[in-house]
Parts: sequence; structure tokens; C-alpha cells
Amino acid sequence: MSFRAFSPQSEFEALELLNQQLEGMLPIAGGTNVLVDIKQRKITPKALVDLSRIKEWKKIELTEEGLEIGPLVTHSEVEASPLVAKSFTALAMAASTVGSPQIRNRGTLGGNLQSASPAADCVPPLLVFDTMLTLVSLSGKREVGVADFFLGAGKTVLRPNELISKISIKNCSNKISIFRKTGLRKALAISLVNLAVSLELDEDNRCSKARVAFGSVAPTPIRVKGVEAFLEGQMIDPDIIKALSEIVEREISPITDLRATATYRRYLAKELLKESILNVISTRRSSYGRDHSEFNS
Amino acid sequence: MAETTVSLTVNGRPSAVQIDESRTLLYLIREVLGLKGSKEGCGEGVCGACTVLLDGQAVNACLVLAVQAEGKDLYTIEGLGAEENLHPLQKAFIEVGAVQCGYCTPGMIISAKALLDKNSNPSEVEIRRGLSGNLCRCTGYQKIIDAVRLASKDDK
Repeated sequence: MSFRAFSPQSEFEALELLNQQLEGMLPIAGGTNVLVDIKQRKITPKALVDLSRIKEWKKIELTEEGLEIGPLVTHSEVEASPLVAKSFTALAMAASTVGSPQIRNRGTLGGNLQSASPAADCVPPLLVFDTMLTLVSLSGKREVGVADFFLGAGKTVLRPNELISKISIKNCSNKISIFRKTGLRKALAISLVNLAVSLELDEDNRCSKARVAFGSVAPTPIRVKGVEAFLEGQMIDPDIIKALSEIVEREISPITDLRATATYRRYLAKELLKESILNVISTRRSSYGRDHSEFNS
Repeated sequence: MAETTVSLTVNGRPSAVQIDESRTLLYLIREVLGLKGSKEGCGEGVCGACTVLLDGQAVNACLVLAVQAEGKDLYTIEGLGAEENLHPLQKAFIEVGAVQCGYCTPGMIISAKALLDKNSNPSEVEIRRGLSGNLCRCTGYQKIIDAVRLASKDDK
């Protein structure tokens, strides 16, 4: 493998390089996916544009509407951010389960999106928070919802000369959220199924707004709108779990691959949703959020 | 092939090396600097044998481009302690017998150092999590965990 590596110092310089549209030119951030793909000869780029020096893309900022996360923010930084943990628990939980400490120190949120893996752990949380992505090129900016960003496994709406420049999540004070995943081992596991749930609940545990998203059950992470519609207006209690399982059964169509069979994925999807609902109920009872460290041990 | 200069600090010493742009940080460490303590196991970020500290953070040197280390502070197993002046982690690994074939040891010790630098008194769960990106092909995990716990006590 031999390629050029360019190190632009700013967003503008990076976009200028990409705008030349040289054949085989690829952006790289943390490198935890791109370099593995190169070593396995899945891709053979002629040049890499290293984005890691773009300082303005490394911040997490609180705005009036919510949170703005730079695409170069690493999984470790998402996991450690009090701003994320406070209002967007599912995202902090997901980031803390990605790869290993070494991978989380390098891998970025933007990279997790751009790689477009069906199993990307941070994507279901971003889906349940109705996240908007800002895409930038030399010809300007455009905004795309996370749900519209993915076209298929490894495929996104990003043009070759375009990059994700901002990840914006809207605030909501009475939201409770959770992330769960199952892999073949606890560290460095590609999710067999992952799930994020975000619920807005009133004092009696009645759900006014629900968002539920699965990864690894379709070519892209998906929201399960039938489940969401069922949850909205419901009292969230253990009695609803049977009905929820039946809806999940209808709404997802996972495939069999080398990691798991479709049947097992269906089973996992129902179990993870059941665990999440029970967890939300017990969190509400104990009145404070559950420590998520147990998901990583 | 396109060569470039990468300037970085290596175990406290400023250094500048000529390297092909498509090389990894691990190649820079082993083949250009000649520091052979960091190992290449899988080469794909799964085994952690190449773990080094970059600006204080544990990373897989096999998944970092050499050019991405420009201006950074690199710390490898060679920076830890000399034979006559061992680091508490090195002492603890010897005392507990946490080394079998030794291939994973430099990476394990660097991951343990990253953990102890942030959390000087980790629980067993925290130690296991801190070392979760490092595989021991001899499967001698328990003694490694015992050694990290011993080092955390010795450090005080």
C-alpha cells in the first residue's frame, strides 16, 4: 500500500483538496476504520486527506437549541462529556461501548457516521434524538437529518467533495434515554443488534413522545415507527412488553450473516427493547439515572 | 512513494524523522526510530500489542498514520523505566509474574499506565475495562490485573 497523505490545517484547506476530485482521494479522521480497510485491501486510495488538524471540528458546545458536536470529537470525549451525559444519556452510553479504550481515543463521531456501518453504535442514539447534520463543501452548506443521511451499508448522501462539519442535537428536558447492544464479546465487538430508546414521560409515566432505533437489523440503522406510534400515549409499565415484542417482530427484517442468524437477531431485538423499557421504569422509580458503567465491564 | 518529515517528541526528546507518507506510527516507532518494544500483533487495532501514548492517550500505533503524529508527544514502553530504575508497573509485573510469552506486555503496561494516570486507585472492573483493548495470547489475564492493582497501591 502506498498513498499520499495530505494534512490540511483548516476546514477550507480540506475542502479545497477534496474539491480537486482527484481519483482515489479519501478523507481520514481517527483512522480506525479507514486504515483497517486499507490493510485488508477493501479500499486502495491514492491519497488520504487527514482531517485531524481541523481544530474547529473538535468542540462540544451548548447552544440555545441544544448541543453542537464537532465531527472530530472522539468517542472518549463524547463518553466523558458532562453535557452529553446530562441530556443525551443514550449517546454517552453508546460511545462508551465502541471498540476499546484505544479505539475510542481515536475514532470520531463524524467517522462513525461517515463509515455508514449498519452496526455503528452511535447512530441509533443520534436517530432517537432527531439529530441534524451540517454537510459542507466549497459551494456551501446543507442540513440533512440523520435518518436521511444513509443510503445503504457504507453509502451516504455525502458527495465526494463534501464533509460533515457539525452534528446538532436538540435539547429536551424531560427526556429519558438508554442504549443497549449485544456483541460477541464485551470489548471490540461489532453489534449483532443495538438499540436506542428515548422517551418523554409525564409524571404518571405516560409517554408523550417516543423514539426507538435499531442498528444491525437493516442495511442502515433504522427508526421503528410502529413501535414509536404504539408507545406514544401509553402508560410505560411492564404490561406493554408483550405487545411491543409483536410489533418489533413485524417491523424489522434482519439478515443472517457470519456474526448471527436472522432468527437470533429478532430474538435480540425484542430482548433489548424489553430490557430498555424495564430499565426506564426502574430508573423512574429510583428517580435518578442508572450508572452506565456496568455496560462496559 | 512520497517522503515527508514528521517532528514529534519521543519519550521526552524532540525528534524529526523522514518517512513515507503512507506509513503508520508503528512503522515509524519500530523501523525508523528502532524502538522494538511496541509490537505488531494483528495490525488492525484488535490486539493492542502496539499500544503507545499519544499526547497522554492510549492509541493503537498500527491505526495512526505517521503524519498524524506531527507535533505530538509520543510515549512508548522504552520511556517507562530503565533496568536499574523500574517503573512501579514494571516492578509489579515482575513481582506478580504477570509475564508469560511477553508479547502483549508492553501494550498491557502502556494501557495500564494510561489508566493509572487518570485514576490512581482503579477497581478491578475499571482495570478490566482499561485493559479491554489488549489481548494476551497466553490468556494470563488474572495476574496482569493483579499486577496493575499492586502497582496502583505502590504508586502512593
